[in-house]
Amino acid sequence: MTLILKQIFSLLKMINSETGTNQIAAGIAFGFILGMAPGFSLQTLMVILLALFFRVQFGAVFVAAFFFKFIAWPFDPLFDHIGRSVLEADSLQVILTSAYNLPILPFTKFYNSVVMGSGVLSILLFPVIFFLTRIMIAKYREKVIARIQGTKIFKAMQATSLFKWYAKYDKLY
Amino acid sequence: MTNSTNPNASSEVKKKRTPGPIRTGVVVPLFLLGLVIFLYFKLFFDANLKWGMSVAASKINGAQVDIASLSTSFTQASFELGGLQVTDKKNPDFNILEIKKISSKLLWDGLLRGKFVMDNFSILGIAWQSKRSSPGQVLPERPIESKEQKPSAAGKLAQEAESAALKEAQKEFKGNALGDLAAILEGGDVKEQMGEIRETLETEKYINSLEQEITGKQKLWEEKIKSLPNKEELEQLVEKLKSTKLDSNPLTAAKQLKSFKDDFSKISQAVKIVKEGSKQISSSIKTFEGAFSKIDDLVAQDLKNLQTRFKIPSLDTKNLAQGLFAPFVVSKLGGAKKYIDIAREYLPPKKSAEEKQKEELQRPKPRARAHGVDYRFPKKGAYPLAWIKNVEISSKSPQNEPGSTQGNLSGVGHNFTSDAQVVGKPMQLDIKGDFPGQNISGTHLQFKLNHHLPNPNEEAELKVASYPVSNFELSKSDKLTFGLKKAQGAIELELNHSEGHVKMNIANRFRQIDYLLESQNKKVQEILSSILKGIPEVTLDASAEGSWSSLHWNFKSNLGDELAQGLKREISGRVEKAKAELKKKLDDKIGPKRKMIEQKFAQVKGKMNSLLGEREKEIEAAKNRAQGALDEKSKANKPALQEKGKNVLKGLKKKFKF
Repeated sequence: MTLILKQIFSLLKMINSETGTNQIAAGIAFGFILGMAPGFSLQTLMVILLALFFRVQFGAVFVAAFFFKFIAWPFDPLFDHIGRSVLEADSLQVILTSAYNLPILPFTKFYNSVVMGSGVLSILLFPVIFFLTRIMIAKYREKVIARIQGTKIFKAMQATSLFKWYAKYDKLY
Repeated sequence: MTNSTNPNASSEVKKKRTPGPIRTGVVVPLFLLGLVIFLYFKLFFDANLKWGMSVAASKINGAQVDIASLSTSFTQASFELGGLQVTDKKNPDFNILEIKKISSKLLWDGLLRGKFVMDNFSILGIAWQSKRSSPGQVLPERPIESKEQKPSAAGKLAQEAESAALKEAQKEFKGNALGDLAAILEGGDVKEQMGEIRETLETEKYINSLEQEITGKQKLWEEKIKSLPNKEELEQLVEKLKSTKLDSNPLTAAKQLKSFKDDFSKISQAVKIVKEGSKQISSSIKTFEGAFSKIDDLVAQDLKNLQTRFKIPSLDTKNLAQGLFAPFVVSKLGGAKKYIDIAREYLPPKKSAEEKQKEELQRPKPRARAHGVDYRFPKKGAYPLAWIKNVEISSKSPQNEPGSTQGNLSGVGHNFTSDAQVVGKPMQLDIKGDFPGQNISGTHLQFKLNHHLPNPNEEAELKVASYPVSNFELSKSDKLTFGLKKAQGAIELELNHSEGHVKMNIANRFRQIDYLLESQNKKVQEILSSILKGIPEVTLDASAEGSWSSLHWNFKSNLGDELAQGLKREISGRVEKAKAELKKKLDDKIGPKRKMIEQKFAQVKGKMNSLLGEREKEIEAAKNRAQGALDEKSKANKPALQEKGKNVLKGLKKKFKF
């Protein structure tokens, strides 16, 4: 839990800084895949390992997974429809039959219509989410952060000894 | 001051260094974690698992459970357990069960597909009630919560099967053939043995109901006859025909004649109604008469029931063999069905043709799920969810221990699976061995569950080359106890079961027989002893076919034949006399009533026939009279009509000057 909180604080800090745009965007995109997938399966584990292996902002992964998990359920009928279309496609029957009888692959539960539908859709939308998040972070920094930093309250806060002490601590650690 | 000496400049260089896309820092911790897990499984896992299993099993058993060795292999997916000893908590010096070795090996090929496929599973050196090297520790008893003990699904099936079989046995094979024969053999008074027929017989009940029915029918028929057109109604029309004079005018007379013809057709219609009504009533009487023929069938049934109740034995060889051996054989049926039911429950056979079509290689219909549907893409030759390809079991009996129930058994099994359709092979078990402590040798048990076939069926075969028989009572009553005191038996049993249909064949041979024959009556003892001396070997061949709830048995035994032949010489006359006496009693009881009812019906029938005949005769006579009157009138009017016609013609000629 501490680790997750630490990652979330790190996300907040990074989002308000001027660095790590790609890391945050990739984290949210990975979190999108995790959030859309129903339940836990092999691909969930694979996404977590990828997020661990690549320099992705982990807090963004957790927050995005949590967020998309909540908003994903109304789309289940859509996932189901897409999944059925893929699983019932005549041209894919040979591949699907082979995959079903291959080692390991069945643990992904690809044969379930919702898993297949959400998987296909989330992988297709992965780059869209990545670039969209990048744009949104840039806009946030440009519009919101700059405006907050220009306020008198923020400037007054910066002048306090507590803020200075925090800034020094942040620099050191 | 150069940049190299300035610490601030160094930190600036560090800040500029941008990290790569791969998180290299995580590799070492992950490697270390993997190493720790590997070392734990390599060094400590087996010991910990052995300890955990031993503790858990001891708690379940309530007494010490020892496991001498345990080894697992991740790479081989194997498991091997050695020296399992389960202490008997009632007698801690002994084990309830001892197994020398249990080994299994799963296939990684299956595991990677989420399937449990075992190449070989063996349980070797099974022994019951073996002596322990040191007494096992018995755990203190825990208070048991009082819960209603309900049998499991399989247990319930077994109980139902057993009770159904026993009920069937009791229903069909009650009685004591030899005991009843002995009573007759003793030569007592047949009349005394029979007693009186006190109960109301089925025939009597039927006759009483017939009597009531006759009264009702008589009333009904009489009413029907009354409702038919009668003589009085027709006489009026006949009189009208006769008394009405024809008009002098031929044309008016012709009109009158037409009216007479209408009246006559009414009379004809009435005659027709009477004839049809008469026909219907006669038919009803005839149908009712057929009900009397059932009395004969009921008399025969009552006679059979009374023969059983008064213990009048049958000397038919088939019945005798059945009476001797059926209760014993059928009482063993519950056990056989129990195992088939359990096998069907846990090793399900093929599904219906529709389900098969859906689940086979063609695209199956998706199974509904809470979220989405699971599709299946099976392939022939794929693994089922669980499959033990080969099973090996063995047990060893301790040497020189008479009375021991343990045997030297060895068995192999093949294709124990959760889905025989996918495997496409039958499930088989073959066990051979001896039970030296019980003096049983040449035991061979074979099971074959053909659940992979379109019509699933089960086959079982049991052969025992030699087994001892002692105090096998075939017939027991106050008068006589008969059976096999000592013998050496051999049995061959074949059982086929398919879709609730059972076919069973049992062949039994008893040799080296010492008969058990006890009777208070010396004569009975002598007669039966002399018969049995000529029977050195007893055969018993039984076959059964049908559903479990109604099996049709057929027994054949040389003992039945020999006894029947021997006893026939002695007592057939008395049995026949007893039967004749019973028939007489039955006739005495039923005869008067039967005669009365037959007489009553004859009276009713006669009366009805007479009434109908009379009515038909009367109405026919009225019709004839009406016919005569009508003919007479028509004849009388004919010349006048001709004369009138001629005059009209003459007038016309004059008018037109011909």
